[in-house]
Amino acid sequence: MRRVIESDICIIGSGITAALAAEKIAAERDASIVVVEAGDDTASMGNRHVSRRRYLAYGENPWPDDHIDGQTTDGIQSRSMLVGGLAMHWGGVTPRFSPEDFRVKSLYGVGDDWPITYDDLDPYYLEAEERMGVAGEQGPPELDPRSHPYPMPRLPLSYNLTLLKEWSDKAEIPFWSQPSAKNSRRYAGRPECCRNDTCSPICPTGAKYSPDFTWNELRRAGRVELIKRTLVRQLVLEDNSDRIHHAVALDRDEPDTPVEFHARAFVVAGGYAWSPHLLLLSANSRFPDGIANSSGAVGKYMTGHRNVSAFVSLPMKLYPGINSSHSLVSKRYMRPGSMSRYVRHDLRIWESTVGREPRLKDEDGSILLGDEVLRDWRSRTERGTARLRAYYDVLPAQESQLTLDRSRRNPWGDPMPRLQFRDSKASRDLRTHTEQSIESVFAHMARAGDGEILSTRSSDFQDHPAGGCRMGDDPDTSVCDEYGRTHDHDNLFVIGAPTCVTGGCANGTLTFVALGLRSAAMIGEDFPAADQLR
Amino acid sequence: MAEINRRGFLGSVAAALPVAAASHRALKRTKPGTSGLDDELTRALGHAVLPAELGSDGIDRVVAGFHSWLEEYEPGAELNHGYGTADIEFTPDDPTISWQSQLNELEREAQRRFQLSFVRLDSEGRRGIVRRQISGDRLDRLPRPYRARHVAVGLLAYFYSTPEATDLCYQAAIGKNNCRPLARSPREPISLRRRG
Ligand SMILES: Cc1cc2nc3c(=O)[nH]c(=O)nc-3n(C[C@H](O)[C@H](O)[C@H](O)COP(=O)(O)OP(=O)(O)OC[C@H]3O[C@@H](n4cnc5c(N)ncnc54)[C@H](O)[C@@H]3O)c2cc1C
Ligand code: SF4
Repeated sequence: MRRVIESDICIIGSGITAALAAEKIAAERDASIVVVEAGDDTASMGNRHVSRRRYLAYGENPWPDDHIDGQTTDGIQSRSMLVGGLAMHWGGVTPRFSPEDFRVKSLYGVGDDWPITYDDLDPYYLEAEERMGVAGEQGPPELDPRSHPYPMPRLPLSYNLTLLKEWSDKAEIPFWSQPSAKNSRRYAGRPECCRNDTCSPICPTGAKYSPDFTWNELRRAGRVELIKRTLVRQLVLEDNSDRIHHAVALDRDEPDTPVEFHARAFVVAGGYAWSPHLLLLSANSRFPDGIANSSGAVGKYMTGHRNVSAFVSLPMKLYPGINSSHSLVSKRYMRPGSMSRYVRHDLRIWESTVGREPRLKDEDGSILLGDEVLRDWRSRTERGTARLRAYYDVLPAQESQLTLDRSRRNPWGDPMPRLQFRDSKASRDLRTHTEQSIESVFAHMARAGDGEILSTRSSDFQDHPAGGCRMGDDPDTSVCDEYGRTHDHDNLFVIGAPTCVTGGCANGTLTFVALGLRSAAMIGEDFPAADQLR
Repeated sequence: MAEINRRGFLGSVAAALPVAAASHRALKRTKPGTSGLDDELTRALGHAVLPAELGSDGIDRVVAGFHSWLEEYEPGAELNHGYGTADIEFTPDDPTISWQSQLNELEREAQRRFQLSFVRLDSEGRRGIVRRQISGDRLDRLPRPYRARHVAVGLLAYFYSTPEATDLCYQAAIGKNNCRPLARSPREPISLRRRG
């Protein structure tokens, strides 16, 4: 017994990249679209105030049933397999990469170039910003090149950020309002942000974009069929060609009846971990190392960025909580021009409560109770704390990799992924220099504001992971072309995060979505334009 | 049930029942509408450890909020996921039983040292007892209320996590975590001192 579901396009995964790519194809092309998602639907809008209240009071996860027991990665991976993917939890911060991110090899002789440039991606960045609704401020054009304005005006700088900007001006580093997928005014039927500051993990009002809005709309309009609680486990080739014939999946409610998805085009949109994982799981006699893996690059070149952060005590009265999730950003060090040794990073400033929290023991170890707690707390609020953070790019080694760990299996017997990030030699050699350069920027800023650095920390954690199916012109060293079409199978696309060549030095999701939209434009070309039929 | 008897009854329930989940419900059934903690002792504790600036009514309001918070606490609920990890964590056991035992212990120490009920001691006397009983705890930072090992720390952690506490400290209407007009964000929060 098996169940067969047919469509023109089968999209595997329902994260943010899939949502906006599906929306684009559905709007522009006449094609039937089936989306397969391993996870469940999410808490409806009506329940989000309650979930948020419990999150604030008890720290509870506001997204019930957002993961699958036993389906885990050994390595960096946040939990979230549900309709909408990780972006149901995200903070909605949406910077672009800078032009240099795509050309580090030709400009600086390190890492690898992408097969596309910033200019190739600019229209899709804009489209991504419009589709999700991004509020932003044009930074100095030489640091923040854009062909068009943001769809919404910036989120206003809070009182705290205004003071912090005066400080950064003294340091002569240009900062501006961090672009965010949060409504600075009513947008796409969703309300203006009311700065209640729980964007990650949950926005109770809908002011922050999350992919469920797109899925609900597409389903309501009958533009896609979204099949949830169904895990795709294998891609199967046509008998006499390298095209994908169907995908085999497991319906978690009827595990004994395999589901087959038949389509003309298959789009793997499972994010950085599950996309290469599925390709590796799909190995067969013709592609013994995994589907789309004649290059051996599937699961390789996993990438991301690390950060250095600091807390700085400043002689200014801040009021933590006005809009603490919002921040200032600078791209000054993402676009450094010529330099003797490679170092590139972003720079952000937030208000912080570090060193200014209530406590029950003072420096002498005396226990504080009653009025003493308040007195002690107040005495530490005359100065303010700023949090500084710089993401710097980590250039991946080939063996920065995701592999199948046959000793760990999900409840249905599939080996689970193991992720091991590795710097390329150049990146390893640059690490100390990079982190010291960032620390000297922090020190310069502290001095400019008569501040004092309370603590500095560099993290091993690679944030906004990507890669594993990198794009490239050379089929021997990459998995897919610049549109995500796999070199080995002309009806199989991988979209978004896994196709990245490097992780850049800013939050990656807007870039993943822009890449997905660029792929969607190409995928759509095989289908008639929607308006041709009207 | 007379006040002292009810306290005694809760104390014996706390001593007799082994683990949290079932006993939590048992306790809650004994005092519908409250958390299962003795209200008089909790209030006496609140008046000793919360800032007097809240005023007597304010302290009673915070204590009532603490009762409701505990009443709605769910042990074993999934916590918000950590970033970048597959680990799933859950809220710990219901603290009611151990917290009630600690309230009883405050009462016992008051009786032993001063031959007075904890509620009859002045604030300084109560704080002295609390200080002794929490002196072994790491108190360098306030924990999440449900992770507090002592009821006094739980109550303080609860209060100091509220927007009200921040506003009281800064004497300004910040209103953190509340919905507020975006357009007001650039303005300095209104001083509560000036308002009187
Ligand atoms: C707490 C938090 C805050 C964040 N904040 C930000 C931020 O402010 N800015 C930013 O840029 N990024 C942020 N991120 C990262 C951001 O959420 C992710 O980069 C983004 O959501 C990834 O989207 P995606 O489309 O690549 O894939 P995912 O979100 O991973 O979606 C993939 C989906 O595919 C499904 N799937 C996978 N494999 C299969 C299969 N075989 N069969 C069926 N279904 C499958 C999964 O269940 C999942 O739902 C944050 C992340 C977290 C966790
Ligand atoms: S601040 Fe509040 S309303 Fe605004 S996006 Fe975040 S959670 Fe939503």
